[in-house]
Amino acid sequence: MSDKNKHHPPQSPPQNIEDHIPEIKGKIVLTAKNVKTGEKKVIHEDKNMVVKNLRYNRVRLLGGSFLPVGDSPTRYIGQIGFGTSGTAETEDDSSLTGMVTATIGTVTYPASNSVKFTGTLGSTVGNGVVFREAGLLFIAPAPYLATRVTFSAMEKSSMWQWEVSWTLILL
Amino acid sequence: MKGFLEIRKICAKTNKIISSEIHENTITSALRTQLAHMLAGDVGSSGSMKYIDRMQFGSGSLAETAADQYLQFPITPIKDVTPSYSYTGGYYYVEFEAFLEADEANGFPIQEAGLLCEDDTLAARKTFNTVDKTNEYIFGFRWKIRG
Repeated sequence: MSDKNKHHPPQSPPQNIEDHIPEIKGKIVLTAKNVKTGEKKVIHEDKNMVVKNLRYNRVRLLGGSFLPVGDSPTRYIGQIGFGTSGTAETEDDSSLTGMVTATIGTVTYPASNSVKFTGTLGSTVGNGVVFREAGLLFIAPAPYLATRVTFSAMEKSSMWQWEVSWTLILL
Repeated sequence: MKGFLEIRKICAKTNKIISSEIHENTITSALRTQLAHMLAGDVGSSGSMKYIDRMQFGSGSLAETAADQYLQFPITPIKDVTPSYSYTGGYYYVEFEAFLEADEANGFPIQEAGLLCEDDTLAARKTFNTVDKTNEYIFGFRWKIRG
């Protein structure tokens, strides 16, 4: 075990070590697929906002805190959410409004410092709802939001399923 | 991602800090890979997990790079570390602290330190001006990584 508790000398004065270099970037590609014809069209493609909650969870992952809830790891991104608020993103955002979720289908690693999540909002889900926002979501703990993006209002219909590709790059 | 290593030279008799310096470290590319996987729920399996749990020291002076996989000339002891968390200035931090005690690593010109993951991946490395370890001094190493 560590010997860290054997000594408790006074701490040095805090140092000014802050800056504002972005250290995580994210990008979402949202594609609508016509369930009858198979036609696909990209309906939104943009950078996202990495919210503070992702940074909070990131340092805990580095420290091995995988089990905020239950006996198996749950501190990971496992869902994609859609919501109805068009309020501009901020890093303090913690939730989506009127959320409908899609389970992440596949996880791939396009580069050594990136991870890509894909998921589908099926043709039977969220129909009639006018969506204006989306986000990546942790399984646990609450709050779950990791990233958020807003877009022009789009009403979901049963003619279309929405396919999401969301990539995070660790700088 | 950034990290900072504070090295404190402490008098073994009085337990008072004699000097302190802070260095910005190099986070390895391998740690970014570890994090990408952990964000997706791949935390590793028992005995080979991806989180940081030890601090290592060495006598190598070759400048650190993000591609480093090991310390240049590692020495013993390797110290287990436990995390603590803080929120300062709008940033989240995880902090790891270890001490080289008065009776440890004496005679070695210590010039490098690193954080190790449970699966032995080198997470971060920093070289610094030579610390000549003797039994008169304890050295404290406080390492903070920003989320």
